[in-house]
Amino acid sequence: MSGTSEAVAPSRADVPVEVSGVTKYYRTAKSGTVHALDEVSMSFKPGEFVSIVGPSGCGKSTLMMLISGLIPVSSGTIRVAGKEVRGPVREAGIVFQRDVLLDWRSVLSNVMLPIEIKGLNPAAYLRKARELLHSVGLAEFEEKYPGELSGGMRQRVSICRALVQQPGLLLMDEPFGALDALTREQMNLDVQRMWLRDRNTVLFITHSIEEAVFLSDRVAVMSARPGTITEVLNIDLARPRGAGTRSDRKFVEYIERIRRHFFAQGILSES
Amino acid sequence: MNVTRRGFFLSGLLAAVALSVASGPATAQAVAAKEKVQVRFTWKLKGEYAPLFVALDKGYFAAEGLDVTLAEGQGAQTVLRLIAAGTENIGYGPAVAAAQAVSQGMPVTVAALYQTKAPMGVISFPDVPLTGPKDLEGKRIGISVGETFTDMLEPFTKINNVDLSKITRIQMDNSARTSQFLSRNVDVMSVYLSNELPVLEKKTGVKFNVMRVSNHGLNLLGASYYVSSEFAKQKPEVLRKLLKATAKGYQDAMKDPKGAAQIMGKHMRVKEDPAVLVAQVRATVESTNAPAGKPVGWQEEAQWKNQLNLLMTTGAIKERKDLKLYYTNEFLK
Amino acid sequence: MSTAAPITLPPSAGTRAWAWLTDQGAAIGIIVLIFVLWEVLTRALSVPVYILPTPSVIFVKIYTDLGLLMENTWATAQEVLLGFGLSVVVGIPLAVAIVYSRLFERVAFPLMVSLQTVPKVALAPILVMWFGYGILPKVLVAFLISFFPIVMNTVIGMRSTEKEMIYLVQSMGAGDLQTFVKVRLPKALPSIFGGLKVGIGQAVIGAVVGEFIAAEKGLGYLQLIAQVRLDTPLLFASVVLLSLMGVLLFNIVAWVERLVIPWHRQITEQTE
Repeated sequence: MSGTSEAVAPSRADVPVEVSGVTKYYRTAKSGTVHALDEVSMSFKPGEFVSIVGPSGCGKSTLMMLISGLIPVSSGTIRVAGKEVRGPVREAGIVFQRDVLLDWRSVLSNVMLPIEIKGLNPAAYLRKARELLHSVGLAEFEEKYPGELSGGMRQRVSICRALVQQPGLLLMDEPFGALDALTREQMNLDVQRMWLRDRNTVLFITHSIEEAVFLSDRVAVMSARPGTITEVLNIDLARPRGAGTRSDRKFVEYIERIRRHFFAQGILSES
Repeated sequence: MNVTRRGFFLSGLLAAVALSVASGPATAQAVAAKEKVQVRFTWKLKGEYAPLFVALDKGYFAAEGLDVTLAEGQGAQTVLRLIAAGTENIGYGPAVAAAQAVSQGMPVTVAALYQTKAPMGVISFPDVPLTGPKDLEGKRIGISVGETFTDMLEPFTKINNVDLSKITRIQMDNSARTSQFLSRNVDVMSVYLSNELPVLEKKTGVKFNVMRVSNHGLNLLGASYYVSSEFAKQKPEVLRKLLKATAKGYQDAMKDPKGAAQIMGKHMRVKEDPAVLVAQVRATVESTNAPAGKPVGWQEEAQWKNQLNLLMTTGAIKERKDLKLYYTNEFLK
Repeated sequence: MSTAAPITLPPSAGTRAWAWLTDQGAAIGIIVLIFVLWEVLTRALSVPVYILPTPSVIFVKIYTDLGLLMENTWATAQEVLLGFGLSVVVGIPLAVAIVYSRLFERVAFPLMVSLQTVPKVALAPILVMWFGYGILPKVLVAFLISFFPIVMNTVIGMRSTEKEMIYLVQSMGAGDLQTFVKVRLPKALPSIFGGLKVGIGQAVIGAVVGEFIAAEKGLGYLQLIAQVRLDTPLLFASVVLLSLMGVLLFNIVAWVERLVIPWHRQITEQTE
């Protein structure tokens, strides 16, 4: 990189996450008190890519929200980069399933949003923002408005937005759930490429066993509500993973293992 | 001239100049400092108001040191309430409305009465007979809230032994009455003979049947000045001057109705047909209250007693207060 | 070289106008037809002018009394603009307070709804009694009628922000103020403008209602005079001008909307 860019606030590109005995209850108008998570414990090594798979409503999204600091735990502790989480975690970049871009801002302006809100010097980050857009193939769409983009393109923009601040921790909640299968496969490749470059710690939540295995270093399997981690698999596949990986014998075995686990739990059933 | 006389002359001249310079601004101020007075009519401009505009136009108000504004209104009740609230000080409209206001305890009083008989009548198309009150039976009439005859319909029928239940009364907005009458949706309509009738006759070319209510026992006190009691207490001189100038305006109008109509027309932003204006002014001055030997607008106790009797027996007012509260001639003297 | 490629110039103003006309063709055609029918039937049935004047009589009246009509149009317009302006200045902050404070919402809402259900025709005489014949009662009636849709639409617009959007900016470290300015407010703008477009029409109604009760000038006042004088062409002419004023004001708001929220138009104009 050229020497003109002054110090872009050097945040750690990878942070450890410690979840200890976390339980979460919350109250809803319709169902009364919901016991979302029960004694969840897990550690993430810095720079690790971890996925969580589980059935709908098992609490995986809740876990992510707790780690992000946007909602509080009922009991237990969470530590990010060694500090206990007591409010929104500044090292975290979030991508939701809905892209939630601001319609009234251009693509580039959307990507720059975190910089604006944090009050950082835009000049220092503009290049990074453009690079990110370029890396996902949206360089010419800088000045377009979200309304002019397809769903897949918008989600890519929201990923760029999450990455522009060089987050130590990237939290993604079913980011590709609303996209078609082909776009989804492409997005998997894109995410892998970006992560290989930045090596931040990633928590990836998904319904798709295949996606989880393809992307992650480890896959955590969550039970039905109240959610708890029932198994954690190490995924030992060579990186970078590509088209060939999907037909690899080990890949298929990992998927089988997880699937059998869901059958055993009654989450999947053949009868 | 010798020196001393020139000296005297010069000093005298100087003194005169000095004095006039000193008093100049003062007199100019005295002339400029006219008392601002606003008269709020109870209706939009019409020929009936011509005498006041004559007084304005010919400078009678100014001569009394008054800077008078003549403003339009939209209903007697509203104007009276504004006077009672202190937002307005002087109004000009039918005294019968003031009688009702005073009975309700509003601090207003009538300072001069220019029509002892409100020129109210009922009209119908030529093919609908209207020779007397009895003819109202079996007819449809449009009634509106706040319209004078609507309030007086029951008293009128009582006085004339007419069966009210045989008259079909149709409630409508005041502004709709005319159009409903013209499209024959009602058979008879009450009008001010001095104002609305000339307009109707001119526009439609129809000679309507007319029944004057004062010929049938309904004597309502007409055009008058309403004054807030507070204002009357604080500025009696202003009131006197106003009435004096108004009287002059009336006298001129009575002598020359056509000229008065012309002056009225000049002051109307939305023009009225000049012939209609003349008819309105004539009708107004013909019935002006100008008793011999008394100032124009002088009020008789008997008139007020009768009016209150009528209003009381017909239920138009619920309470009868001290006669002194209703009217006063003090400012006409 | 053989023939050069034909140069395509942007369409001239004439062609654009013609295109617009033909686009609106059906609508214009129907309106013209209505006017023609009106003219013909009124004449054929010998309807007197004081019941229903023909369009030609009305147009002539507008032409001959243009000065008078414009004077009074301006008078009413002032009342409308002041009343509407007041609604915006009071209504939008009020809506913000309702969105951000539960307590405020519980107090303000019932009051607003009860005020809304009282016909302003009933309130107008009270206002006149307190404030007299000046411009204030008209401005107040215009304000009272137009401010409810503005408040409601602003509240709805501000509440329409998705949860995830709020979470997102919170995770970036945004406090309440930043969240409001950068997210809630812009998100609410389409809804707010919807409220403004309704509100301006209401303000016109309010001003005229006020004038019917007490006025010395304005189009409502002119209508009263026309009724007293039995000058039905003037009555209709006033209505025509009132309608034109309403349309003009509405379009001004719509134009401002296009300036302020261009992206909204892009979305609604997007074809597949």
